Amino acid sequence: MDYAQFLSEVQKDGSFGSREEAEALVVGVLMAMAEVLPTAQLDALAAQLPPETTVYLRRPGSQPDPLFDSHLFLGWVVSTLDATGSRDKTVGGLDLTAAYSGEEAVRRMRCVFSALKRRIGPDQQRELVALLPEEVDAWFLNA
Amino acid sequence: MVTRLDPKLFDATSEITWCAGCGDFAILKSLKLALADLSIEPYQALVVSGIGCGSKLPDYMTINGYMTIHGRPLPVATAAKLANPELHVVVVNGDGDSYGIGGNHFVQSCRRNPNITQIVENNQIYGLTKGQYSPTSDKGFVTTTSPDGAIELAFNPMSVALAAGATFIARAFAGEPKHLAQLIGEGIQHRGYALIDVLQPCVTFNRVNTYDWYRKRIYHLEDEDYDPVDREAAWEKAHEWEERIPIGVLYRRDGLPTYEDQVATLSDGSPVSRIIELARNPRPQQYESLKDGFL
Amino acid sequence: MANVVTNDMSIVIGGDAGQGVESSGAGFALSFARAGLHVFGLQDYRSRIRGGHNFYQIRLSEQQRLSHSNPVHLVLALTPETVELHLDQLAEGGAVIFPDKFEIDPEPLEKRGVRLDALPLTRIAEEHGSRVMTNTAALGAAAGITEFPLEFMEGVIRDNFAAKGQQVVDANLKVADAAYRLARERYGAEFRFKLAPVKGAPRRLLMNGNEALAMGALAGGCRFVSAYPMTPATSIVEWLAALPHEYGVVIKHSEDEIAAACMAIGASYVGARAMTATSGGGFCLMVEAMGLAGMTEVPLVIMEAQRGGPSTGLPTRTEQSDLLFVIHASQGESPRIVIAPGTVEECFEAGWRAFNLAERYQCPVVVMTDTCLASSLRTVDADAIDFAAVEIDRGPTLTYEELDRLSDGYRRFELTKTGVSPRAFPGHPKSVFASSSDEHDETGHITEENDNRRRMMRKRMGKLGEAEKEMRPPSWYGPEKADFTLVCWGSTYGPCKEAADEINDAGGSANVLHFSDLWPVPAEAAVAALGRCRRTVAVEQNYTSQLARLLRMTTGIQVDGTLNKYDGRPFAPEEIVAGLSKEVASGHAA
Repeated sequence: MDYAQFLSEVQKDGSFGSREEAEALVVGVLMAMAEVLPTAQLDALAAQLPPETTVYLRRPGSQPDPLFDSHLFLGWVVSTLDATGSRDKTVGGLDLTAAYSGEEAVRRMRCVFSALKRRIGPDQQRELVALLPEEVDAWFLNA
Repeated sequence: MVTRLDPKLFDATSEITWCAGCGDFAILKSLKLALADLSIEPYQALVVSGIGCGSKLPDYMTINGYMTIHGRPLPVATAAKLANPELHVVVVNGDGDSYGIGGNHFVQSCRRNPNITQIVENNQIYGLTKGQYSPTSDKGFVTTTSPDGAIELAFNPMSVALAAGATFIARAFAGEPKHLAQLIGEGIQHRGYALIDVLQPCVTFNRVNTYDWYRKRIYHLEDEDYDPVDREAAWEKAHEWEERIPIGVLYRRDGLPTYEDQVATLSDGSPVSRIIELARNPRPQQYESLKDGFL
Repeated sequence: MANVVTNDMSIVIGGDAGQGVESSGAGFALSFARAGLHVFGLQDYRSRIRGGHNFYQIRLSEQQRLSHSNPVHLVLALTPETVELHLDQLAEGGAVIFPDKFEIDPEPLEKRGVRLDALPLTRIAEEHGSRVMTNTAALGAAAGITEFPLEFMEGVIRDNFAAKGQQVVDANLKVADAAYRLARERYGAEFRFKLAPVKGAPRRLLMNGNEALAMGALAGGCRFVSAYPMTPATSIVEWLAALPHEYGVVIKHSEDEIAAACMAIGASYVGARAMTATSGGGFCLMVEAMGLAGMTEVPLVIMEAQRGGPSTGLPTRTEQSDLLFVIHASQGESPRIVIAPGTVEECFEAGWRAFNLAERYQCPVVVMTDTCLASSLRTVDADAIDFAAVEIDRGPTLTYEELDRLSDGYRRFELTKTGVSPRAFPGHPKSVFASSSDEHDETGHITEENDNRRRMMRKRMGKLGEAEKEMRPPSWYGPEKADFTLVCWGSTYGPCKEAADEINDAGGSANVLHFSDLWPVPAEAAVAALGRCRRTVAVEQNYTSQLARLLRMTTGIQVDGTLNKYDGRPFAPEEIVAGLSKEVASGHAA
């Protein structure tokens, strides 16, 4: 499967302005998954995806961190989007659009999850849902 | 981790105002777990914070919490511990609060060795005031108050703490909450001042030091053949930053007396226990002999 | 000899910084106190370790004296400069004792009717001990010329030098004795100011305001002190730090005044009686903490011993120029109580009363004194320091038993009629609570909600209304009706009282109205009191007449005139009398 095609799908699905934006998102989601999935599942996932993604699906430590929850997962994704507007001339600093960043992050995450689900079988999907942290499993399921 | 108390005891209903994905969520959770694991009940602990996004942490817990003023939780906490040594006292504040405005108290605490634990939410930026650079921002970091890039070298809490004599120095990563909870637990159990500097991404304002950025650099000291009682080795590790960032216990020195251990006037009671007793039984005659000094 | 005056004089010991003027002066004062005389000891020194003139002025009397007085009858000059500097103070018939190797021009003194009594002081010192004992020789000479029994001085020498070893004690005794005998022999007959022990005098303590404050705080249950040394407040902390460990006072010399104030807050937060002590510059650094204590309703006692400002100013000199600053300190509006004792006895009471006020109203209490009150030694009846009269009132607190019985959750900032919420301390399962310097609700959790904000502001500021009910009205001294009323606060009470006496004795008409509780201002009582006055003159050691402005701000009443002194030296009664004459002369009389 073509990496470019994979990114294209995600970009179109999420209405992103550029391929780069879609790529940053994909990388973020895959690395977040690498934080929570055991090596076996990561390898299985990598096998179904373009080879360029394999590097992001590397398990950072020996075991997934059992305390890694939906907040942290979301954090990896939120990092890829811009939650600041322009300067806040009244009180200083940058004006936030962080109110929407959570929702937006979930929306974007789902685009990647959809693209993943199109490439893996139902059994593999069920395995993933079982291993993903609470809430993330629902996001994946509903993508 | 086998928890003895239910960490939900520390949950509160307050609305959490942190951004989605903020590393503070992990710190909050890990602190609850660490306390629960040590069977410390909410009423036995006091969490003192300063000002900043992270300093709202006590507001989101059911625990004795005191949100004080910018840069000043350390003296408040130190004195609370001296006045009532029974309490487990934890300080939670950000990098600006602790290493900037609170810098003097930070350095003094390292050499003072009070039996308290400090968790610094180090996101290398000022979050609550919306995006200015902080003492731990890397040189060259561009923000609204450093439009040409931060000029100063970043403050290095590890080396400063080591130089100032701190007896427990650790660094953690919010993206590894289990490891973080472990370190917090060790810090609380350590007899003396314990510093846990937590690398914590600010997902909204810090576009440079992201989860990804840290993940590429951090490694566990426990995975190397590293002995945290070796001060020279700790000095070396304290200066690792650009390419590799060590997390774990950088340095520890156990067995030294705490500050409170050495306060002679604490041996028979605390300021709190004494006033409770005096209010019941003032015994004015105990002071009469003091007049002799003026005769 | 004509006109012998017994037990009514002032003595000055003057020299360079580093000659031991302060400690020998204080020791000398103690010998008179032990003999049953009333003593007022004023020190004057510079912000230096060595060099520059300083002096100790001791006033002796059979009556209680609350002020020094400027006619001086005996000057002990350890430097030639001393003679020049104190020339104008010397009364007719007075004398100057000095080492005979000094060359002093006798003419100015002879013109004033003052005797020059040269003595080989340095030689006596070196012969029996060492040169550093010159001041002992001078004091011995003073005792000789006034024919005051040497035994009292000997007792003080033994006590003061015991720690330095018997040899030093003996040497000093020999020096004192030799100088005593020589001075008495040569000059005793001509010197008409005499000092004699007072038989049957009650036991008296020689102490200063700082010592009294510290003692009061101790008796009031204070067991935590955090402070940063700052003249003239340092001795408060040092006195408490020197106490036997059994009293259990935890002292923390903090890294700075910010830490000092925050530590006192931290200790108080968990239920200790805690305080800090500083002067104006240190208080500047505590301003933010004042707000923290006010906002989170934590009792905080701050002793502020004022000194000459602004900025570093006159570090070792006196002033009362922080009043309006302290009353308003910190951003926004938060409650605080400010009291300013006027005498050493009032300092003792303020020491423990401050904690009761702080805990009853759960806010900062600032006790304001000044260098003069903090450091001047005075004889105080031992019985006036009454430990049995000390009350410990912690305000509304919840005991562990009451907490056990609590059915609802504990709300630290519960809204009540008085604005004061029952206080529980961390450590009990039912008293788990939050506090925040941000605006918060009854549970202590942060909220910006507007109804809550209004309620909380009214709650906190409403406490001031309650506190005002127990703020003491100003006190009177002197005749009920008088042409002039000297309106004052803090230690100016002493010289005002004496000035009024002098004026009334000379046929004039004056009384004194003294404010010691300054915030919240006891406005009703102030209006009533000021209404009884014919002409009011505010007597203040500051430039801008801060008490007068405060009274006008809170009562609308403007005083008729002001007397201001801002040169760092305390008012002498004569200066007030002279100043009042000017007021009369300039047509301010009715």
